[in-house]
Amino acid sequence: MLEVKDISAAYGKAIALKDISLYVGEGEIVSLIGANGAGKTTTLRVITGILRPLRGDVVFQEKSIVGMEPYQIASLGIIHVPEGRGLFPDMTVRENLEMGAFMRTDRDEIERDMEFVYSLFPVLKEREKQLAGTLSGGEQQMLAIGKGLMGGPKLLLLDEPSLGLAPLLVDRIFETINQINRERRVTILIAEQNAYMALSISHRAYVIENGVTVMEGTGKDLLGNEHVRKAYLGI
Amino acid sequence: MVIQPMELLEQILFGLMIGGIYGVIGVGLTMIFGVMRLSNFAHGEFYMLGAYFTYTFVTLIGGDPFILAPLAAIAVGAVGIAINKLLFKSLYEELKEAKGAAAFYFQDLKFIMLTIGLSILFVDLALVLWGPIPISIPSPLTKHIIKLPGGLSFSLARLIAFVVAIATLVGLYAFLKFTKTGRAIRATAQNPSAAMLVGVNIYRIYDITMFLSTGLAALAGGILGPIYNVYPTMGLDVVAKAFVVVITGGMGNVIGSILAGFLIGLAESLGGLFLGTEYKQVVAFVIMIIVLWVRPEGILGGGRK
Repeated sequence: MLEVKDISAAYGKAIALKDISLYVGEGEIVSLIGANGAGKTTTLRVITGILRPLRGDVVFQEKSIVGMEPYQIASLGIIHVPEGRGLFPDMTVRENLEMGAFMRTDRDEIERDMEFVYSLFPVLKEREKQLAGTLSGGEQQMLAIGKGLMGGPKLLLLDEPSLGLAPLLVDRIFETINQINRERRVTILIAEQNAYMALSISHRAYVIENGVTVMEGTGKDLLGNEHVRKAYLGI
Repeated sequence: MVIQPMELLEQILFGLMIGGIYGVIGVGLTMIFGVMRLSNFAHGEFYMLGAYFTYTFVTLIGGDPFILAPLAAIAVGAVGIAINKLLFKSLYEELKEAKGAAAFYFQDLKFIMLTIGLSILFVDLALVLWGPIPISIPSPLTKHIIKLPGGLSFSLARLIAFVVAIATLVGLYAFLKFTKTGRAIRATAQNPSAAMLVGVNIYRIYDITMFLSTGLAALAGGILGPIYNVYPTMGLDVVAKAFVVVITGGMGNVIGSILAGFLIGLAESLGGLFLGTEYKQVVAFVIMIIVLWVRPEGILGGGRK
């Protein structure tokens, strides 16, 4: 479904990615694990067109999308829930969800998706009229994922969904991600520092170090891998 | 000094009228700051162009300036879009290349210098096209005086200018609050990269913002043209006041700018009455300093609407 081929990218003169390659198959949950600054976020930014790569290609459903603007890429069904959650702080919860569906015109479907999001996260329904900026960290993360779902994604990119959340909430969020993948058949690519959680729900995963993919495998294999256990799981 | 109640009432009415106009000018400046993070030092020149365009339309087509001012505003708005597409876009792309991922490129010093350059260019252009001598836009409405009981009187032109200003502000608020495009503008102001990711074409939003911002300034110029004089540097006299309104109201906050516009309009008018007209110009700055002393982020906070 998505193929990233030999991508190199930089912020000004600082090189962030060196010939990174990966693919995501339809219906999969794939995760990118690695330390802070390894290049996970940059990879997602290149895929959604926020950052233009120096070299390489990104192919989505047999079409190259490198050089397209973010809004054009979003309209193909690649929805990015960015680092920092990407909310509109002075809009209400409901307005944020409606903004998530900005590109869509199918009113009935939008309403149904809204109900689905509220069924996943009932607290959002309770806080429907509250400003997004006043929500707790956990609620903001739920809203961020909900807003992503409102875009009707074929491929959902999640950047650090566990960041800053209490352990119980982290379990809850990952459980929901799994549920979205199973029930909605949404393909998901996660960038995550919490390697244990990410690997335990992923079909496959890549380990990124210093802008290069150093390892690839199924979630289970990597959980058992000596290097991964030492470097990322602290075992 | 004894102040008559009627004199006081008259100054309050004048203050509200001019406050509405300050609101319209300030809202344009605050929108461009809120959405693009651009400090537009050429904002006053769009106000000036609005007055001259209205004057030109009146002499070419004939008709009342209050009817032609909105047309002039649309024409100046089109100039605003052209500036965005021809000038701003290339500098924006250049900064984006150099700096990498999403940032507020309009905050760059190069953009500030560019708007100062535009301001000088437009003033000189006006000198060449319309000459240095102040003109007034003829309108029969300025001669139509409304008399109120108690000896109060003001021209119909002032009343119409006030009504147009209020209608514009209410219309703008409704547009930003209730339309899909308005919501996309607010979203872009609050979080531009998140707006891009939900599918908002922010370049189009920048075009619309430029159109509205420059058009609002021009509308203010067009409806004040028949009441005051029109001259090439009139924008320079207004831009400082516009920044005072925007900073007092809270940078980027539309409602804040409207409130600050009325506050400063009233304060100036009453300040002129109580302290003498020679202190009128100082009052706006004193109000700004007091507001910032108490609330450094302005009346309604910063960068939000």
